Amino acid sequence: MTSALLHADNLSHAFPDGENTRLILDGFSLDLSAGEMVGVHGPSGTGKTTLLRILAGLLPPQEGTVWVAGESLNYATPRALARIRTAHIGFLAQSGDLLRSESVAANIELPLLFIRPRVGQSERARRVRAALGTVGLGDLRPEQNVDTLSGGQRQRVALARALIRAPAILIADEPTAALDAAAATLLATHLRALADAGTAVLLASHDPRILTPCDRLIPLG
Amino acid sequence: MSSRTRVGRDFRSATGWFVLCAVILAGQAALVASFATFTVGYADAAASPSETELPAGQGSAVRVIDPQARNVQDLEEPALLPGAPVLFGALGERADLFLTGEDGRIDPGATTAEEFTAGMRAEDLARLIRCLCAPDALEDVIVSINAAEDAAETGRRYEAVPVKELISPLERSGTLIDRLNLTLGITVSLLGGVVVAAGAHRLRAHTLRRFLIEHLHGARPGMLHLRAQLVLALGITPPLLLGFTAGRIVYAGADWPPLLPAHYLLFPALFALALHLLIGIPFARRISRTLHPKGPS
Ligand SMILES: Nc1ncnc2c1ncn2[C@@H]1O[C@H](COP(=O)(O)OP(=O)(O)O)[C@@H](O)[C@H]1O
Ligand SMILES: [Mg+2]
Repeated sequence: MTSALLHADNLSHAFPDGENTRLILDGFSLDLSAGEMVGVHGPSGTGKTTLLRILAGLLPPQEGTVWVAGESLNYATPRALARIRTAHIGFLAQSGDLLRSESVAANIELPLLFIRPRVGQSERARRVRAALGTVGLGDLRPEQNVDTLSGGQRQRVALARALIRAPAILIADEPTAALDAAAATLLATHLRALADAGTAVLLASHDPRILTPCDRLIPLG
Repeated sequence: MSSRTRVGRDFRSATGWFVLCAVILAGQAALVASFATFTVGYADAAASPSETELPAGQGSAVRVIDPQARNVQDLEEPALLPGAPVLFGALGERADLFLTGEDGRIDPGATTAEEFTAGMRAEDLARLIRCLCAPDALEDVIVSINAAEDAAETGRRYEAVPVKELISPLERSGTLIDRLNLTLGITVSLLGGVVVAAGAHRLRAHTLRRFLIEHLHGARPGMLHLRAQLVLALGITPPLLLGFTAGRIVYAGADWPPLLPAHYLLFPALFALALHLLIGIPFARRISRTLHPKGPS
């Protein structure tokens, strides 16, 4: 064990492929510390999403071990996994994965609904506004429907949601895949600023626009 | 619990679909009811499974024993039957209200069957002589009618029989209108089924996506499963209840109220339960697979 916030040791993972199985990850190890921005890169199908899902406690590791903030994910119950994710991890997916036809506020406050003790309505509204400010969307109306936003705005709303619990670790899976150049650069700036402020940022991408600001790059495949 | 408000939200987002389900179910119930009115209503009572399964004594009828062999039940066409008894107090009211024993009234002023009947047709008679009661509950009525018939020396006699023994050749199933009715009913049911299935499919995709997103942001799988089943229960029961109620209303307005078995409410309840299990179990499996995609271990 190290002082790393996120520690993965010798992870291997295989998926069925017709009659056989296909090895996607083979002995992958990683240490991620506070304030670090690390990029996992590689072409499509090399297992980036699979790796991030394992590290975020969304997919049980078939082989190898994962620790998040000193807690092992290997033998955690689904309930414990949910708690660990809630406490330490923010997740930003490729296309943002917003709840469609719902308001900006409803989307951003989602992770707060799973915290106990409950976060009150006014406190949630306050945090939503603060999170919107952090991602540079301070002038967006929280009650606006997310379907009416641009791709870049949507991805930043998703980032605001991933940050709403001020997680120690932010995991982002191809966060710029659906963005144009300006929006991608803006998102990269936000992620870099987050890392500089002490968040451990782990992202998967094959987009140089977001890999460039990383402190460290890990090739896959 | 925020899961309570979340259930509300899930349900609201699915409301349009639920309303559609209710409308389709109600429409189908109405069609089936009108279909049943044509077939079951005039068909051989003994051949109707819901009636043969009646507990003993549940349904009864007055059988006309006509010395002129003009047994009303053997008439092919509706015809005027002077002299047949009319067992009701006021026109337009339903027979089963009058022949239940407690309320088996006969016009007190009339002394013979002729006076009871004045222009009744076999069709009306067939409609009127049934009641949802035991045969002996009709005993008083029968005695009064037979006394009246005796006094008028018509030779006609009446007896109360369980509905199982009643044979009604006013059988109309197999006629063009019934075939049309049946075809229409089946077509609408199939179309309705397709629409409901398509709606359910979209709803499932929508819900799975939503659950996956919530899971990514900290929702516990157990709570998501619970929510799914709750919304499903809410989604099945009200439309079913609405459809069933609509069916009952149509039946109540129909010429011939088919006899319903005792505890008939048990059937929609069992149907709802079966439907829930049929949808709920694969749905729960699907949620598990969405939240925890697994390779071989
Ligand atoms: N649940 C699964 N079952 C079977 N194969 C899968 C599953 N998830 C991913 N794969 C396969 O694993 C490989 C890696 O997928 P993924 O992790 O999404 O890669 P990337 O994110 O780098 O594109 C792909 O070939 C994909 O088809
Ligand atoms: Mg991927």
